[in-house]
Amino acid sequence: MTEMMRHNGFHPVGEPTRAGPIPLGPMAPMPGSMPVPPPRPPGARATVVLSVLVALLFVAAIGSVVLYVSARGDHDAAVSRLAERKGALAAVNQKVVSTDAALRAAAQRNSGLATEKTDLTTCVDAVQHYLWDGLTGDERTAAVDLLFTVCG
Amino acid sequence: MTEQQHRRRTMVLLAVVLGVLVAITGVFGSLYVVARGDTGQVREQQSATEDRVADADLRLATNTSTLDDRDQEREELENDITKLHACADPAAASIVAVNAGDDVALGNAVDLMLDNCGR
Repeated sequence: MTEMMRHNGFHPVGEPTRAGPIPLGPMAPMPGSMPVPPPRPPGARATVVLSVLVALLFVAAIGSVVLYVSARGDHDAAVSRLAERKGALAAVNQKVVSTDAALRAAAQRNSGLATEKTDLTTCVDAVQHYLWDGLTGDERTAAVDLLFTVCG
Repeated sequence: MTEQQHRRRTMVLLAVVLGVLVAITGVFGSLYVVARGDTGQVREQQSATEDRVADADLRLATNTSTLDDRDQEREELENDITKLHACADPAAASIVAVNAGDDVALGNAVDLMLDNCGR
């Protein structure tokens, strides 16, 4: 071989050199066969996975924010409704207290009227007994005494 | 910048964004759960308040009805008392007249008693 190199300066075809086989360069696709994708560089797979996770978490984050805003709205509405019902309860309780007082006053007033009616009825009964029961003598005197006692 | 450095930088950026999104999701998810719990408690209080309002309304209706009855009872008592006074007042006047020795007043009082104290 070295002699041949001495003649023309080229390695003989088909003979390996000391430095190894001669690089042939990228292979052209054979007609009729599938193109072979170039090998992915390291880290590309992780980037894809991270991108997918970011997309999923983005959707999840949006969803959680929307849910929170909705729940907050419900909460505010419930608090507002509770305040309104508590106000209504306070108003009704105030009316109940007012009517309780009116009932006590009415009961006291009617009690006084009933007592007055009882006293007057005693007097009127005594008068009617004196006037209309045809009393004579001691009975009449007793009726007059009674009338003076209960109507005086 | 080499392609490898560019790729590494992209991965770091994606990791940071991912972390931020995880944090946002976690925070708002927790806030959502808390808000739901709070809303549940508020609704329980609201339900209890509704019950108390219903009780108070019922008591108010009972009081109002009883008050109407008391007013009617008062009117009847006042009417009865007015009628009784028509008889009892002349009787009292007659006693005053007797004590005063006023025969005219006694006669007037007795006339009224006869008119107003019938059975």
